[in-house]
Amino acid sequence: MNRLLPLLVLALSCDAPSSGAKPVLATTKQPVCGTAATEETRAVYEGLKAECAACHLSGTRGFFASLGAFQELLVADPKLVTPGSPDQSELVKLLEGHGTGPFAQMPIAGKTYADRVSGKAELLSVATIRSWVEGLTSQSRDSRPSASTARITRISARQLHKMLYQQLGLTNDDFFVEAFEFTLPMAEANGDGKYPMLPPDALPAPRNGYSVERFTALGGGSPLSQKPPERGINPTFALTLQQTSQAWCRQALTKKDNLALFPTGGGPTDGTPATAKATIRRWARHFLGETFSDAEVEELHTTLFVPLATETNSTNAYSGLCSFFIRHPLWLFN
Amino acid sequence: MPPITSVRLVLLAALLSVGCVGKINGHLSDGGGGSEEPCLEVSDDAGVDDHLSPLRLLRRASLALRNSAPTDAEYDALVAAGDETAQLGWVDGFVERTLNEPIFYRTMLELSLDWFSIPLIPSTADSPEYGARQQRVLTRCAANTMHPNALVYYRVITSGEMNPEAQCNQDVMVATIEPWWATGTTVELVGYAANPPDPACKGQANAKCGCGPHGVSCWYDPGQYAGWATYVSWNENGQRRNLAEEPARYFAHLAWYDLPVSDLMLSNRSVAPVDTQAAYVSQGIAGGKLELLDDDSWWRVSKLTGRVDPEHQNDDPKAWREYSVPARNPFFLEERDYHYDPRVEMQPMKGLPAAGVLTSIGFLATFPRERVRASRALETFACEVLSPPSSQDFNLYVSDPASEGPCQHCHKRIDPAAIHFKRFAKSGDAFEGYGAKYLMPGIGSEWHWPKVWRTGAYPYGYSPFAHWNQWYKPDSQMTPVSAATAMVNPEAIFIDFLPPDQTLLGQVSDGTVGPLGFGKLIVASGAFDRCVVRHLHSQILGRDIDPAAEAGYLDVLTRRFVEGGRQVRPLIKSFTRSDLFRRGR
Repeated sequence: MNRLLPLLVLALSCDAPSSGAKPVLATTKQPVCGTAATEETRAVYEGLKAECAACHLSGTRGFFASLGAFQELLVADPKLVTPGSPDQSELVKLLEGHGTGPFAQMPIAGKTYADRVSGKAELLSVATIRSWVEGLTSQSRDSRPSASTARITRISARQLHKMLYQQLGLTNDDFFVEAFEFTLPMAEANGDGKYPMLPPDALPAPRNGYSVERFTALGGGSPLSQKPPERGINPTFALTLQQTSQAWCRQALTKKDNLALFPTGGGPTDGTPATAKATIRRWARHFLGETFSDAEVEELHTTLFVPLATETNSTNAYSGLCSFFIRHPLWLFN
Repeated sequence: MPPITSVRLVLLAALLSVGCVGKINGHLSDGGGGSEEPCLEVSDDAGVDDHLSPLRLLRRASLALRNSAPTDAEYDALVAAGDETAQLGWVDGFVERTLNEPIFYRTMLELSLDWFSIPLIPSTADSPEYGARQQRVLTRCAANTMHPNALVYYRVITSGEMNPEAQCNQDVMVATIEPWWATGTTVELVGYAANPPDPACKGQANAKCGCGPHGVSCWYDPGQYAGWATYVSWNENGQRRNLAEEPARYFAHLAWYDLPVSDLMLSNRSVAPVDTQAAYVSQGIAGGKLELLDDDSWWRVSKLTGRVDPEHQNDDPKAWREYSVPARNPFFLEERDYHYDPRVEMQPMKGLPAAGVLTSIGFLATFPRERVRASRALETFACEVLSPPSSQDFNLYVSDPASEGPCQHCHKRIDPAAIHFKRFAKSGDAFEGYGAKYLMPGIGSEWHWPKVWRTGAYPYGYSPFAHWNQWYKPDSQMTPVSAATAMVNPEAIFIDFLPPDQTLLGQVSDGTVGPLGFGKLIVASGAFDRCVVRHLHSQILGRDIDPAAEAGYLDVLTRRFVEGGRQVRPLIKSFTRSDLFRRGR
């Protein structure tokens, strides 16, 4: 109940202007958040849905994606519905077969909607729709972004690739040697064991298919190859990122004079708790833009670093730590 | 007015579906132009605070503007800035600075490359078949020949011609020129390439006529296999790759120089390196504008004046330089409202009004036919979705996909767009960039044929004539001319403006011909602006705006964008200061 109460209170603050009354709980600072769909609108939406939804479920004409979409895209669009005036409303014209736009009728072929429902009491009549339009008053759209849409997104493969190079201190030279095709430079992978990766459209262009496949597996696109980028997370993405993060972290840690991960030098050979914890703290900001608490540092040290470290080798532990950060949700999402 | 209880219930239901719960008094005012806009903040999610810390906000801003993370030094500077308010101010400053750094240009380029997704001009024969260059390739004579290091035609085209090796080793014509591809240097041409120009050759390099003034009818490939340098995708400076890139470069240029993004559709300008502008010059020459042979304003370094991208120096011929498209190819017109009705006008059409990316050779040649161009342009620049119809009854398809059969589901929109893209087509094959032709039917003095082409009789049985005969059907929506008119004047079928009885995206045309007519319509409809806003939103906030669920949000942002002169930077700045940008975890 406590969780619902603020919802209801806030709901009332977004009262519909079509009612003509002031919002019940609105203050002078509270703007109107668009006209809400009425019960009558819901009835029209439900009535038309069977005939129209198949073609109008998404995009700029996705009127039947939801009642909200119907209200926002159709009812509140003066080009389609003129409140109070069915004869001026393109929606009514289309249903009756005398539309003025590219289509004279909806559905676009066969009988008009009016003819289809004529004499069938169980279907929504054009007269009902006309009456509904007549009863509408001025409509407005909610100008806020959808609250139900995700507010974080996975970074793109292009971003991922750039960030790995940047944050690990790696460059093309760590994976590729110069090669030439038709006397023009290309990037020849120095073996697949280092997990080379390049966008197919990069310059110098990758000469080996596996360099491209890795980028593609991470959702990378290529205009020249007509492959759109995508940001989904699937098993291929997870596997590729895991392998790449481990291989690249190890390469970065063992790269001579690489200050990206240990900016003051020292490198991964110092596995003392003090150094390891300081590194965890620094990498949390370096990779994630986060400030870890002492407890978080301690936990990560205990559960991840210590089990991977040996008395003589802390590189494995730093490698595991580095790849942990790269696979962390806060690294993968913006 | 419905009873209050019903209002509450309906509102609650609507709120749950569209998310109208929340904190208000949001603003998107900085840089967006206009007054404070209410209702732009997202909801509080019943008390969940998902506001980003300044560190995470900086990371998000860096990803949005640079496609990469902040540096450690930037994180340190942010923390050192002081309390949270000071740190948030530091992030605003970071955004300001980054928007003025070349990396922002690069990000806009990467965004538009993915967005426009224009591939290389496709091959239609064996590699390196590539037609847009329309210049004959030269190669270098070997050092041990009679004309060491001189340039000679690479390939024999007509039987009976001397091969290149023979020309390099015989006492043949020699000419020394300052070549267009290397201002301030000289090269020696030998053999046919050195022959003096003849008006009869119409600017084409062949066995009779050479490469012309400054070698403008030729180009030089220093590579091992002449011709491939322009063809292969991995050549950063290759003309084929650069023509595919030109539209995206123009978008990045508009963003960088705070020019209205609508120029992408409506301007008579574009950006390109010298070697890419050569394709436009060649097309102008192919159409008979031989004065272009003597024009050095596009290649002579001292005459290069247009604004360039921030990654090149001003005097670099490889810079992506703003240029006047009509100056390179006069068949792309300066005029912004050129009207021409081939049904009633008998004089040749002057050309197509230049229309930014819509008349870029990369776009026109990559998508080889009018309906493909129209579909891609609608999808790309108007964010239209063209999907097949669900099962429903259609009338019988006879000949017009825009009004008959299931195809009308999409062609009702495609064909009123496609009508604008009819006057550009490819003919023939190319060797190393020489041999193919890009026909602009009915335009100028060159692109006309005897009426017999309408019968498909030899030699008009091949493309594009076969395509025109098959698909430019009189009395169709894409070709609204009567059969009688087409019989008398076959060129009437190239009609390329939208007649007043048709609409595109709800707009009636002002009669402007060609791609500019299309561009005007999608800009006037608002679809172009909404599409730009959606793509920029995707880049900065990481997600698209759902036009079905967030129509009002899209309206407001688009209105701001238009009121702000359609400039990219202010819109992006407003995005980074929005409530939505600062939330999410």
